[in-house]
Amino acid sequence: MKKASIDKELKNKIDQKRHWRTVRNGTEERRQRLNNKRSRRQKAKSDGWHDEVKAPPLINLYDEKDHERTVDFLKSLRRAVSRSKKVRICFRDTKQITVSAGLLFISELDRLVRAFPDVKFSCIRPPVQHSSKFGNETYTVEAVLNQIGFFQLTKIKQRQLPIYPNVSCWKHSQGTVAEGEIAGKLLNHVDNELSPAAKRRLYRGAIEAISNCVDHAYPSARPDGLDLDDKRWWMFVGIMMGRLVVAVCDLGVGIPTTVPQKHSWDKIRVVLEKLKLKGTRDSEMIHASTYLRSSRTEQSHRGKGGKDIRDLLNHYPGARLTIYSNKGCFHDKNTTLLTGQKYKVGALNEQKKSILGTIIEWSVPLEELAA
Amino acid sequence: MKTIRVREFTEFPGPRYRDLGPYSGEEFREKILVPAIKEHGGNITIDLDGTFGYGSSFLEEAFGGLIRNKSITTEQANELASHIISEEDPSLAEEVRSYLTDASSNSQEDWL
Repeated sequence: MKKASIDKELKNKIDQKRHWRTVRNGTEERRQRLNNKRSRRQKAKSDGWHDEVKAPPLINLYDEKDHERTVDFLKSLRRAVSRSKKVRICFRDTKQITVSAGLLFISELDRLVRAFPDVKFSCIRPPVQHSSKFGNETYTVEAVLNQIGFFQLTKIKQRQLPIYPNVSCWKHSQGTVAEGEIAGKLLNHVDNELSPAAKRRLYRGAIEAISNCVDHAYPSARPDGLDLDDKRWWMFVGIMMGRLVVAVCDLGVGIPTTVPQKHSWDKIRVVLEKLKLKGTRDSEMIHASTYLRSSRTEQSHRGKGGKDIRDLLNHYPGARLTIYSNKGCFHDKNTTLLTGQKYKVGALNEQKKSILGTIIEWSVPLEELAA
Repeated sequence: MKTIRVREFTEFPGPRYRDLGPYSGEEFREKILVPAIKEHGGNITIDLDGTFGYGSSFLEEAFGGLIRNKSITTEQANELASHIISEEDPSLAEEVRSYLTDASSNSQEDWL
């Protein structure tokens, strides 16, 4: 039957029927679709939903931009772990982890894992990198995570990876009291070619830094809003680019907060004036703290730790000292002039965001330590 | 003369005070030094060799603390100062002597 020959009334009736069928089926379909979506979402929430935290391309504190990204990443991590049951850490873009930032990350994670033991972790592993020369696959970042105990801490399955000598020598540990044995064993582990004098000097700095953490770092709760009672310190020893690196970290209130509690303002002002600093920034307070000793009335025999922490610089021309505390960063190193005269250089950096803790890092060229 | 070897106390000397950690300067002073001084006076030799290293807090508290806590007289301190030995790092013995001298002079100032 031709279309034109259909009766107009009949055609209207058919059209109407078709229209209502479409409407009826469409509503039904839509309802079904929404129901499915809702149930899928609920299932995802109860089964596999993760709060995802994305790690920055460079987990690093040396550079200003990376510093801000790293601090933001740690803040997101704290937020995710304290609020969710499942957290996924995404290392998809991560290409490098430096010593201080790596130690800060693992300390922060260790603290969170202890405080929230029911949280389940998963991760997206770092990308495989290809060496520029031969195009060989390298798993350096994953090996670093492996070595610093990330997988062990989060109970994520560890993969068998090639051994990278510059990573496998990394070692870290933690404690609540100033236990010299932990520091000594870490230093022993990393390189047996260190001279006994070098070990003694490194040990001296490390045990004083650790004692300071235990004695001063935790007078009150850390201002991160979590109100956790964890007064630990973390230590790292490793070799990077021909230098031995030793770092000690705490997640306490920071040097700029503890300095005015330990010393009178009159004394602080004298040191600040001597160093030509105002004392308004965290980095300036860190610099001042390395020269402050308790005054006679406040127990003159105390406060020798600052000297021990700086001591390596006096013995090794290539040694460097870096102290991060809250927003401040203080670098110190020896520089030798062409005349052979040595002089110290101190540099201050103020960052936008606080690491909410303190890291003291020494690095010394290996050849100087072996002598 | 009695010889006290720190390595027999610990290979890893710790912090200043007992409550900060094990093998502290305070513990060494109270457990080892004070009983030995009570028995032999200042006539003891302290051998600092054989340990992993020392923080200055440990040394200051162990030796300077003897004078602050009046466990030793100034004469005994002077005698003790001449019997501190370290072949591995002679500067350590010098350092200990300076702590004994500083603590002596501070205690005399307090007295005056």
